[in-house]
Amino acid sequence: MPFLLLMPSYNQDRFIGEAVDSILAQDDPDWELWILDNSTDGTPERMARYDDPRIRFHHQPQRSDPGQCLNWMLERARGREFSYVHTDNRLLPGYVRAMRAALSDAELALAYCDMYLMDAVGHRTALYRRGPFDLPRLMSMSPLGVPFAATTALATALGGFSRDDVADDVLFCTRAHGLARYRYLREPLIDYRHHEASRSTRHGGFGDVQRAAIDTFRAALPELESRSLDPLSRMREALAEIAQDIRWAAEDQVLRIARIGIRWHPDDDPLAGLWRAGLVHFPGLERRHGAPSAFAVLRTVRAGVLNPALLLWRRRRVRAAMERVVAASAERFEYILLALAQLCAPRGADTFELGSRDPITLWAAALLEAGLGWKRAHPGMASSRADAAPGPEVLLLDLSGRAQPGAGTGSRATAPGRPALAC
Amino acid sequence: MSVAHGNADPAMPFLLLMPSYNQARYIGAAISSVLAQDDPDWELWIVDNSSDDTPAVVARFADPRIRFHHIPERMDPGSCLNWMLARAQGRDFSYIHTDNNLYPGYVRAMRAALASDPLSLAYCDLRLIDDDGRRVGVHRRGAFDLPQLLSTAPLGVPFSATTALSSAVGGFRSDCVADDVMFCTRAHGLGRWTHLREPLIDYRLHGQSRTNADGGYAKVQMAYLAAVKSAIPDLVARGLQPMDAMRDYLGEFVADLGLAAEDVVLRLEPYGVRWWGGDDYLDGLWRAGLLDLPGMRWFWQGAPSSLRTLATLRAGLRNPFVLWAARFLIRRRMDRELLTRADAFRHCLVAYAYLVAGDGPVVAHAGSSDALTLWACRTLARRLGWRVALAVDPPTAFGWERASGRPDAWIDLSGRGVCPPGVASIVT
Repeated sequence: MPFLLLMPSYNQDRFIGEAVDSILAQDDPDWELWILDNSTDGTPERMARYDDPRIRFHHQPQRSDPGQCLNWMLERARGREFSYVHTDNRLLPGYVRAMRAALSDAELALAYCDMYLMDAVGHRTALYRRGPFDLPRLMSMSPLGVPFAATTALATALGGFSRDDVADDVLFCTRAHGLARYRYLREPLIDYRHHEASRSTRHGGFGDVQRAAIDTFRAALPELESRSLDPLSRMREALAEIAQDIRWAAEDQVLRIARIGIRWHPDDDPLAGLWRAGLVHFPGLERRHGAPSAFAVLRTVRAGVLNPALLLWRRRRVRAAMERVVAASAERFEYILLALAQLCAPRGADTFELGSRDPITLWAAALLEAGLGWKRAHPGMASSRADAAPGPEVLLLDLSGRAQPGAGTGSRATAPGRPALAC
Repeated sequence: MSVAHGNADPAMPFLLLMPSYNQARYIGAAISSVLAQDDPDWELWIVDNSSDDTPAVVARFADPRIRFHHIPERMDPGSCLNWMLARAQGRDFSYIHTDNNLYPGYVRAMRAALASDPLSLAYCDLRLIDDDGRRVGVHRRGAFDLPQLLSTAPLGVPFSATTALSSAVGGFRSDCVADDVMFCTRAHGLGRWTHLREPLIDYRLHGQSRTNADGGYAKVQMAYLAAVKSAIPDLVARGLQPMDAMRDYLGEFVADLGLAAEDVVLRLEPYGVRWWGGDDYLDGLWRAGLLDLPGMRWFWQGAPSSLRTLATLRAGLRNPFVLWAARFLIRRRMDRELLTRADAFRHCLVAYAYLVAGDGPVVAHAGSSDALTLWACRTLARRLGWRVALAVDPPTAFGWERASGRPDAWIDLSGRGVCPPGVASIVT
């Protein structure tokens, strides 16, 4: 059973030679390269130069989307494992061997590796570590996609790839959750090209790819829910867990500086206190979003602290400790938040309302503004119009940990049926 | 006695097991915190070997759920626990100390965490308190896989488990100060483990706590290491490979750091910074003064001095100013990779080195002078008292002895040196 390398191809004659050469250089020779080509450029001529019998090149003039191409190849090729690879990537010599080994001990398995990023001329520009994927991250704005490898049995179990979907690879990897065993190979095994003609650019840039991913997740929700997975709750829990980790870390720091005579304002939540004193920084949350200015710091120090000099002395250590905790999960927080906000809000919504003013909610608001271009509705304006309830298109955002979504407390903010991102 | 209620089997109270020895000052508060539990279906067992007035303090509490047994001759905690487990009837138990205070939700949360599997173990986060009960910190506990359990920062009190799990591992060991650690380590791979991600207990650090009474941190660490060593045969007999797991864990950290360094270097290249040599990116960053390994700040500990940083910049770079401007970002990026895991790495390294090379006085040779190897050597010198010398020319390192004679152990995290045959090797 050869390892199947499946390559939907469309007008990449500039790069495909390099990709095929990298496959010919694999140190595990037992592979089959399937290429389904819809190109109008010189790809067929370029491929005609290769006469290795393991290369199955099929040219079909009419354009079909990658999902259809993959299904066409999966129906015809015989193999236990396959990998979906792009025409503009370069495999490192150990790719096939490592992927085959990673997929060998389970019938339904999916494997992925780290990757080098490279530019149009093949120059490496970065090394991207992919890390583990749980359900919240699979549904986030940093999901799992090409390159990956899986068993053909998994493709059968999932009914193949979806048609009419730009994010066909992402959908496949997300739907595999709960069925397949995921294996992460913690080393770069592929050079992944970012260039002008790559798919993410052609499909309208990053923003459009993001929207496509969200539509993909919406489409996948019913299936995941029917398998008694609850992705939206898992995503909420993931955000709440990160927020709670940051709060515990803040309490730890406040307790530690209390030992050396730094007294805190007694009714302050530790995180809010540290934040107002300028000792916690959230990436993306700047002064214009409500972060404290340097002067506010001085005020807080004067008002609430017994011994401000000591605080200045400990500032570096407190900041470093908080930064360690925030930085450890800031990306995860952002990517899950951006996806969850779009999945919670009705399609086309672009406004949210703050349910509280605690630092983590403000951080989330800043990320929504910067990442999605959403606007914040001012509750003052709404209430001035004779207690008109905010429309169903306004998402309630509250990550303070005190919100009770849909609890029916009668308050306007938590009215049942109101779209809310609260945890 | 106990009231029947809701979800719990009234015949099966939650057992709180408390070996007690001369903590009359604190045990009252501990018992009060148990009486304030919002799940009333518990039984508190105390085996007391005290010579102070602990019996009088406990006698003030009249609750029938408290089973107090005074046994005048001193027993070790493991024997006390086995004594109680042999007599008490319950599905779940928790090993708690006489000087800790439980929060009202402790029993309820632990019972829920243990409910799904007959063999389970659960642990929560802690708030640390001092002699006077003032809170001084929040201690979060992470996930414990095998390398963590076998490290010098293992899992111990407070934890809960099912009595079935206790039977499965044969109860507590009576010959070991770190009886709690031993129990958790030997329970690895049996049943389901749950980390309750919130503080449910105030844990007291004070002058008379066991850590201090048993000779302070260094001695407790040696007790941990002895416990780890005696747990290895059990784990091996169950088909686990603890030494391989630890080596893989150390190697993974080293590889992750190396790949992060490579990423940083690749990202610098478009700005005209030419790499200053070698394929060991991490070592290069370190020599340029862009990596802070915790505990190696000073050049006489082997870290490059600031003058050396300038020299590196002058020698190797086309565009040192870009590097200079980016050094804040580079350091932050490397710190993020390093700082969240550096402690766990060193705790595991110390235990691994101890297991490989034994507990005698050890003379070790460093097979390479790269940053991580020197860092590992410093850690082992400080934490285990090893004498370490460099077996290679030290191009960067001040304050290191040159190796001579035959070493007891060989340390090399770069994977390039060649260990002499027959010498215990700590390599990744």
